[in-house]
Amino acid sequence: MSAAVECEGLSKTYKVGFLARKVKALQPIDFQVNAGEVFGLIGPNGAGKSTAIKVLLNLVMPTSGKARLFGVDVNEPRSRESLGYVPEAPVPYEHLSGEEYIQLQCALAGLKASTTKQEVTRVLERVDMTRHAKLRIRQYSKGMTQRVMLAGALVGQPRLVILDEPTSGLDPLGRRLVRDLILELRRDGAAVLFCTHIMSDVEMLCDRVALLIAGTIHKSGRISELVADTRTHEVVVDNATKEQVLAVVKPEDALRLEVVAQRVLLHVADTRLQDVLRALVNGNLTVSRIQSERIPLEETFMAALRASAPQQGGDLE
Amino acid sequence: MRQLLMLALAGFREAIRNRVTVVVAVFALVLIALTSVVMNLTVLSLDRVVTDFGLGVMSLLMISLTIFMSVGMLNRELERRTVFLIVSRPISRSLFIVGRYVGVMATLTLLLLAMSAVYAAQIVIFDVPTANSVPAAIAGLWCQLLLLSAMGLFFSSMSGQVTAAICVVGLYLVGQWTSDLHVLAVKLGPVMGAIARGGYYVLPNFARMDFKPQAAAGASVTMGEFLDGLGTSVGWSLLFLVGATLLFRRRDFK
Repeated sequence: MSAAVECEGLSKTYKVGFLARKVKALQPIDFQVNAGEVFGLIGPNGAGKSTAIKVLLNLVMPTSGKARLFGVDVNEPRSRESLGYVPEAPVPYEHLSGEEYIQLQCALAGLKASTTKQEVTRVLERVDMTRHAKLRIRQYSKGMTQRVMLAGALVGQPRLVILDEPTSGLDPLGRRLVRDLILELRRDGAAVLFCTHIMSDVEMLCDRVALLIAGTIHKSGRISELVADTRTHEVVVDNATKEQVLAVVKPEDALRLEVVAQRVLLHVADTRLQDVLRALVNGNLTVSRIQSERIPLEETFMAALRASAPQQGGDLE
Repeated sequence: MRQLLMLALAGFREAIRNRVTVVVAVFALVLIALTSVVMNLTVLSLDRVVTDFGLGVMSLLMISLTIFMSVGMLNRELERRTVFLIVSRPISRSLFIVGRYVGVMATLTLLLLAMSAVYAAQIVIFDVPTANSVPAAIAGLWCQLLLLSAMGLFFSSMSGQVTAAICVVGLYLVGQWTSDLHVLAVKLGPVMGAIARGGYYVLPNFARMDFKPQAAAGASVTMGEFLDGLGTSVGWSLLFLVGATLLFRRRDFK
């Protein structure tokens, strides 16, 4: 069975301005999203996340490479037969009511007229918008608009849902609704691809992530794999002074050193732990506790950003 | 087919709920209804005033509204990113363009019918004798709207709103005097004459769809003349529509 999303060597170069200056929005990238998986595309503004999504939706044409949805090239409309999409900061047809908008989405998704009423009721109930279904969208708050957009994406029980910043601007209740929806979709076997800046959401929801910086994927994989190589340990040395510890441990082996009462706390990278422990034991110092510290995804993200700072903001050819 | 109809319906709902459309429609209906006021201010015959003024108001306002609606539609969709919500569904971009076109034409047809009803009431009230050229003039106006909408979509599928509006207005004005180019070609030198003659053949001739002069003069319009206008409109509209879909299919929505 084909993956929900497959990208191979996908790149996009925009021509900008009067002189058609070339700006590389995406360097060749490869990634795959499987059924029943939540995949997060994370990265700073201008990293190419939205461009990647737009290529998948056939909103922009790739400069090179291939993109397929369920094994069908994205150029073909049938690749989007089982797809739901919510764009970033959507401005839907404001003159339509929520109900009319969902009816339109049902028709576009290819649903029969006989099943439309039932489907409209189902998706509006799912996002708790039944009461406001008859109101025009221009009368909705931002959160209500986002809910109707989500309802539109759920039409026809799609096997792939693409969400661009789905929780931005939502209140805590709205954010929980989005998170619940994503988990529910995964439970039902659908694939979810979403872009966000909110790392706590990524950690909570994603099975795998790809970190996109300046159009290239810097890191990708399971969150546990991404943060593993930046894992650190806190080593507690009892009844010792800072000087005693520094006499046996090389300064470059410790990331940070703190003195708390009669204890010295050493923060050590995973790769240096064995050397530091050996040095402390050889120096007759007492190690009372070793505690693993898991660096949050946000730190990994920031570290990758700092490392690639010159490349950010679109690469000029 | 259902997808096309729903797209057209969404476009129709947008247009009739748009304040500009409503204001223009009300303005036109009031103006047509005020023909009796204009009658008192003119030295021309009553029949001519009712026919000329009514058709003139309908033509001016409907053509302005058509240009406004057709050149702004795609750009509004792109600015608000509503097009993303449509094109991300399993439909082709061509269907989107055609759906929008049908929606615009449905709105314009409804407005034209409403204006025609008020205009017909005027004719009955003032007991104005009419030839077949009056309904032909209204049908001719519809043919012009059909072509102008397609032109608006074509130009807005490759450029911004202002550029598209300038192109459509320019082509419409030139199209009013295309026949003069043919006459001019005889009087000009070989090179300029060839250019003028070329212009005559490659530019849409709006005068073929304009039966207002016959209606004002009480003259009749033959079936041949009418079919010639209808054919010109449909042919050119199809050409512009195909052009619009071809351009829109390759366009990046940044």
